[in-house]
Amino acid sequence: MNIRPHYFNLAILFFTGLILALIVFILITMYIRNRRGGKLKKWKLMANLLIRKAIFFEDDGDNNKTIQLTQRTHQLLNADPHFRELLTGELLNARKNISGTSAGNLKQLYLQLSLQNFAVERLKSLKWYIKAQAIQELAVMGIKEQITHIYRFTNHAKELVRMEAQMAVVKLYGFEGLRFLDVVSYPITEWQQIRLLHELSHTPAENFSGIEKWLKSENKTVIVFALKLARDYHRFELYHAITACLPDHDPDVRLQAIITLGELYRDDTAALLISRLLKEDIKHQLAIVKVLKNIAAEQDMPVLLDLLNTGNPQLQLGVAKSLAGLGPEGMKALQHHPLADKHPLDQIINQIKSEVAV
Amino acid sequence: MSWQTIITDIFTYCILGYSVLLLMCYVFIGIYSIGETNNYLHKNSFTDYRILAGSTQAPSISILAPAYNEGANIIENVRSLLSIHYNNMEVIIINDGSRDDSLDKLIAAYDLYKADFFVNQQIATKNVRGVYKSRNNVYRKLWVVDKDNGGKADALNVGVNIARNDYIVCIDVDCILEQDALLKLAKPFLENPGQRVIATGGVIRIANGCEIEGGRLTRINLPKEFLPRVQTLEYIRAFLLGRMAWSRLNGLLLISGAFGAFDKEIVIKCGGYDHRTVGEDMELVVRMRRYMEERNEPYKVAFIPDPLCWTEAPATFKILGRQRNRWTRGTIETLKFHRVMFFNPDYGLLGMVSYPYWFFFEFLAPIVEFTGFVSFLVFSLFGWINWSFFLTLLAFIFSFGFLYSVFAILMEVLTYNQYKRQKDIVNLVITAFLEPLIFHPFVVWAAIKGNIDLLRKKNSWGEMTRQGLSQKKSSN
Repeated sequence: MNIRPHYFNLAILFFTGLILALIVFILITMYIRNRRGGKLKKWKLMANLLIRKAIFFEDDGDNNKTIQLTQRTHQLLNADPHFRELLTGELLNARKNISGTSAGNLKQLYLQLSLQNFAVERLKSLKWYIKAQAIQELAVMGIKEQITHIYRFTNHAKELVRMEAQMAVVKLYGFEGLRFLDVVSYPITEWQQIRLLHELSHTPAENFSGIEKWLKSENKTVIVFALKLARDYHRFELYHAITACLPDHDPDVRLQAIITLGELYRDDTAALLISRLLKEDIKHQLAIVKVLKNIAAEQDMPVLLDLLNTGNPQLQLGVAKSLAGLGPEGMKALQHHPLADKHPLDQIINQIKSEVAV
Repeated sequence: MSWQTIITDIFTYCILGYSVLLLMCYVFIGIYSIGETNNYLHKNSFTDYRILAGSTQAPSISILAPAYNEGANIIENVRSLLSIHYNNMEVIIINDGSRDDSLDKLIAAYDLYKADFFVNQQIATKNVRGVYKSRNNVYRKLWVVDKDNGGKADALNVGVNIARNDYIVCIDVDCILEQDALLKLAKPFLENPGQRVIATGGVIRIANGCEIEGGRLTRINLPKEFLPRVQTLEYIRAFLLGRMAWSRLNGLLLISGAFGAFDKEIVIKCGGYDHRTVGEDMELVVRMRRYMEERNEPYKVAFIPDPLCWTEAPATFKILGRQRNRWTRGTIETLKFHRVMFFNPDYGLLGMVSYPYWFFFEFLAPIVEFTGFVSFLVFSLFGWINWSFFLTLLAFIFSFGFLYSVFAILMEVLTYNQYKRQKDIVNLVITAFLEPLIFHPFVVWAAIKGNIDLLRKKNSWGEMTRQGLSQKKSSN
């Protein structure tokens, strides 16, 4: 054996040293954490007292009146960045859950403590999560002065920075903030779309513009988002622009257009969707059938009955539900279908009957 | 040079080469996982899961929970599942032909009636005897399916056939979920445009020793017994290091059967769970990945490091042996079914890295270790052992293993820090020291038995008797 045990001895020594170092590091970390735990509790209490004071603060019409701070708070703010971080965090949490005058008071406290200066400084950080945190902080506290900076980040290469900047402009400017959709070249994830729609739901819906342009965007995720906006804000005047999305080559756009038409439909929508049915894959066919359940009318009955002949039981179930949705006539037609007593339609009809009974 | 020396040298070099390669993989996994965990923790600090909980746009989820003779705890377990924070979901309990009174208990507790329900047999399964719904609107999310016994894979396939939502979450009925577990598991499906997320997994933790009330975990404790405690360490190592690194590579082959979410459409297109294997959880993930690779569709199997699900670990060697025996058979069966991918560049990373890693370092590792041990006995019997070199090598391997475990403990402390008392961490370090001496040899032996059982064509699951977590306030 030519391998020298010497090398292994060195490796063993190295591993052992590393093990000891890691164990010591773990124990010291835990010790510091446990010690800091007590201090953090005290600080948290101080921060919460201050926040409570700010929430119930009344300026009696005197705009120059400031929220009184204790000497200890002043000292800590200047001396300990950890305390500043904690206080900022607590302020943000409180601000997220409070609106009205109290929210304004929290902003006043934030400005009084000059915390926005630290956030602006962090906007310049090269670390994406620090930059994103700063954007979120400024947006939550409603600091509009940095909007030019923040707006530039709405198409930032780092996903989180981009997402927080998009949220910030919407938080600060409502529907007007959506103008970033004109230029955004990166995809807007479904998660981000949910967040944006949630944020917009807190803003009074004016007759905002832009959807028509976004429906023609090069960015397919912008089209999907625009379709959701049209649906949520009942923009019936965009009907033709929405139907124009039905033959789009992107499956997500087509799916969203189908779902949107389920909310913004006209007399001819059912026929239009039925005409698309056979050109689509099963996922989109099922989406169409689901929409038809709510919008199909008696004149669509012959086509629906014809669709029962497709071999796919899932589709048959959907079509049968659409027929049942047409009322007693639809149910009767369903039961008289030539396949009505054959599997699987017989079971499907039984299920629908029992659902109707419940 | 005598022939004995040649034989021992060749053998030693082979084993050494294999070990060094394995250790290098571990070093890579350990380091590579740090970035992924860090990235996730930073991203997660921006996430307000409440938005998803209330959103009508949240992915629709069907929870599938197979139950076989779970009568003792079934009512509590179902209640726990129904109380999960997620709006857009249904809970499907599949009674897999239980011989106890599970179904009767469910009918009585949840006021169930047998509903007319068309079961679309998209995946072939054993006979479904009935589908039950509750008359009480409070339990409108609950479906109970009664079927002929066919095993876990068959029960899950019935669940897939019945599920009406886009995503399925497969769960062991006796697992305890964190309140926000579904929200966290669902989010990756919304985050990757241009790349379809076909499955998501989360960290499973050991619940032995923890305090549980009303199906909820109220206090986390480190298990007092050695076996559950060593499995706690093993799970931390596997989930926080191994799976995070594989997730970063997008090479994950396994999402635990105890808790994982899947894209239903792909599951159905793949033919559902394979009931020919006892490792149906791994097999499904491999098949789904293979399906996507063969169609050249961009995809991802996501993994999140949050502890989402707590489960009871085997507390006796007998039960642990059965579990590890089954895991070994499942791994080998899966590798065998998909052997076409072995070093096959058509399957990209899956064929060139993930599959070979599992083959060499998951399937072969216990065999190599066992062979090494037997050879050691033979060589020492014939006096062919260079004892000083042998002891040096042993110390080398032992110290590396210990270091890797301590590193995993460090990661746990720096990230989720579930065990807050210093005493617990010291206990974990002691456990890490003892693991290679007591636990590891047993696990290797169980894996060897798994190999033998597979050769004998034994394909039973092996009874997994549990002490039960919800029966008492603190279980151990």
